[in-house]
Amino acid sequence: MKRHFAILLAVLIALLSVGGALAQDGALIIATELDDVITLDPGRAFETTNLTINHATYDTLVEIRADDLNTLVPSLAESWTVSDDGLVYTFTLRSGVTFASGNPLTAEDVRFSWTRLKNLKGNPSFYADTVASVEAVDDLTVRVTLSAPTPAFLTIVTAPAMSVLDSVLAKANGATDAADADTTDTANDWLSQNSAGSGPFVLTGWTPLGEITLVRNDNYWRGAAALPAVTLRHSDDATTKLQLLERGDIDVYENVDKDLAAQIQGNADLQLSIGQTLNITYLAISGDAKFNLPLSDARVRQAIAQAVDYDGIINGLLSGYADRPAAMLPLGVAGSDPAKRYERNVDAAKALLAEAGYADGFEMPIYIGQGAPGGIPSETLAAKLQADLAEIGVTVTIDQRPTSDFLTAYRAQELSFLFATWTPDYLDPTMWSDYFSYPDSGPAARILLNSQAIADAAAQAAAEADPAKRLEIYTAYQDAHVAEAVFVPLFQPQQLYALRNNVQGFAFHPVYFMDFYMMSKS
Amino acid sequence: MLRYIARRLILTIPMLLGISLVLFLIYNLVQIDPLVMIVGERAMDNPEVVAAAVKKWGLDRPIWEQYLTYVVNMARGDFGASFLTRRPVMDDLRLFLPATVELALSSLAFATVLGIPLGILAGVKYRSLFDRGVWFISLLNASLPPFWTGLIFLTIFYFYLGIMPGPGRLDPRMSDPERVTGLYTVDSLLAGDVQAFGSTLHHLVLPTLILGGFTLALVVRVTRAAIIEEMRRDYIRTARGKGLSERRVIVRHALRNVMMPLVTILGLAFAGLLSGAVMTETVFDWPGLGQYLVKAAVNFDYPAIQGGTLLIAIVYVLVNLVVDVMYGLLDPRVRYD
Repeated sequence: MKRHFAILLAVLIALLSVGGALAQDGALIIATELDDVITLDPGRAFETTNLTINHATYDTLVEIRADDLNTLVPSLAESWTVSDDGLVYTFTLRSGVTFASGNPLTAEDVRFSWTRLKNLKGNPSFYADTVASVEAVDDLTVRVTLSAPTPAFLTIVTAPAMSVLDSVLAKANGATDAADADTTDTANDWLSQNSAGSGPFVLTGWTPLGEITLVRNDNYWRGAAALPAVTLRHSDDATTKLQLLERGDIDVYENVDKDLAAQIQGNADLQLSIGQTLNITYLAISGDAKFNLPLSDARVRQAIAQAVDYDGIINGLLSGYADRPAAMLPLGVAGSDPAKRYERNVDAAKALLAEAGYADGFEMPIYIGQGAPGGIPSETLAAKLQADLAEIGVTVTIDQRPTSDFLTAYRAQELSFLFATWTPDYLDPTMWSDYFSYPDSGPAARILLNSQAIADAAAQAAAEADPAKRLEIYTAYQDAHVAEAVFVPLFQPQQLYALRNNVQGFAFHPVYFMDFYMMSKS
Repeated sequence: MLRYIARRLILTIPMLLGISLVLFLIYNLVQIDPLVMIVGERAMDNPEVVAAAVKKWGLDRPIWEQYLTYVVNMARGDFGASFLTRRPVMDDLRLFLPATVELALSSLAFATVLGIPLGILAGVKYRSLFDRGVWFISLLNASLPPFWTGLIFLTIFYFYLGIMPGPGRLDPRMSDPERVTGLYTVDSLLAGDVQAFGSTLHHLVLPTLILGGFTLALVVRVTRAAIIEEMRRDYIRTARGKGLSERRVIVRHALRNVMMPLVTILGLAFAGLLSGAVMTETVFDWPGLGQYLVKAAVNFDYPAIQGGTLLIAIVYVLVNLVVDVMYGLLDPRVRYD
């Protein structure tokens, strides 16, 4: 009996030590949260992680690089022209580009990909809303006709959803661009486990809540990447991710818990990289009369905007890892002017309240969901705002609901006072001004914003093709937002990355976060 | 016997219907619009996308029709599609269940192999120092929260000592074995990948200690209490009187009678391990049923919650049935009619 046990133990130990030997040693391993992934099909995916994966496995016609967010750089398209009326874009494709499959890139692939995106009627289809038709003029010429002038179109083209698929390979696996693609396209499963792109990496698998694996595309048209493979591993717990990184079992820890930043900076083997996101966490204060609150007086909303302790939120609740954006245009986007925002001034706020006839303050609810939009748990941020507003005599009661319930009520225009976070899908200022301006769309509709000044400025800016004039209009746009004080930006969170010292070439991108092609490991 | 099993299985059908009806009523009482979750906040502004989603998910049908469709589909083994993952719930369960089963089996094996002998020894040496030691350790096991012990174990054995692997089912640098059963131990062996098999076993150790620890405490206490009771019975005195060795008295006589309560406990414990490993799965990044259902609950993913709940109900029914059948095998006095 004892001998059997000893043999068993020996076999176990032998097996376990074999388990220590490793396969792919050069692969870059990243710990992150993969629970948002639903599909990796660029025509269907509209979450967060898919942006990184789609960018690594596909190319777009034009791109915006992390080092200069205001400049469009040619990618699959070598050059392009825009007709005088702003309606027709003609792209000339780079010649000699092949997909990872070996198939050559042609104008037909672009036509197929964009038409399919539109006809899938999926969550990201709105990227192609403005596209009326796409034609393949010849092998390397694509002509796109828009339904209305859209100066932001080239920026929209840089979005991962506008990626170019290898139409031959995609069709062989069930993809179609037919008008009824939303019911007849069957490529979702295949495109979630494989990729059909020309990008520097090829998708080799996805296990939900497990991992996503990529291997290098050796025939990449810009030259093969330095990394042979990339693995993204799901991990929920911040402490565990840091332990994995410190022990060297992973190379990158994405979206570091801000409480752990100091610990990473204190470790000589690790580097902390700070990414400037273009997200805005904002306060929404409805001025609509239906709520029967003093908030319908602009002076009361302005008083609230001046009562918030912005620096206290950033330093106390985000360990300083956030910026203060302008009124509804984040720093880093063309036209954003950090002077166009409120500063804390309790005395001025009290004076405004008194002027509006509420010297003794009033009581109102703040509606919040669960989770931590922008990186602060909702209840913590609500409590901070409650304390700040108490200083000017406004008593805030916290009404917390399940997130889906909260969102449903926000959409149904039932909430008068709340905070939320806006994340961009592409980098044009219209990504904000289209949604925070008009009484019939986006958060502006939900909070019942009705300001002619804001709507006019947003419409003018969206139609203006001259960049200098556009900047001018956006200045007026931000002034109008400050005066209205319906949307009050609280902070623009930063995203932290912890990397082992032997990882080079990381530069944060606000849309797709990581560019594995630029990274290497020594 | 077969008739008994068949009757028990048929009786589960009204029970499952009842559960699904209760879940359906709760869902319709809460008044949450699943559309926001399906199409995402931003796409809600696009009427074409919204209309396509409403049609695809049958949200334009009257409530009773939605329920009837659901029941009919359920009878065909189709639990509908998850709002969150957009995949059939059945596929999701098939995907996430094996990881949980693997951990549950390993924990049950650990608790049984170690728990029964410890329980017997503690029971035989009732009130000795050994008994008190076992009692204290099992009390500790039963009362420490697994997310806490899990993190502590990882910190000590993985982070500081480096003798155990980090979280996950497999070394991050290895690729997953080709999926056959979804049990990594089996799949890696089928693929002939000894390295992956070793790594899988190694990765099972810490979560098994944590998850199995609770069951271990239960097994020890039940065995101990039953042994103490049995050892006072007349037949034990008779056996001793016949001159049997103490070892024979315990193994041949007392243990047989201890098996009855043990089988009950082990059955329930196994069902519990399958449905209640959420904390352990989260700490160890274990892609199992617990994590899947928690995410479904947080996001109000109704088809997934319903599918998961029904699956767990079925597991309980089956386990109870197995336990009842085992009674008959263990004790000839039990009759099924």
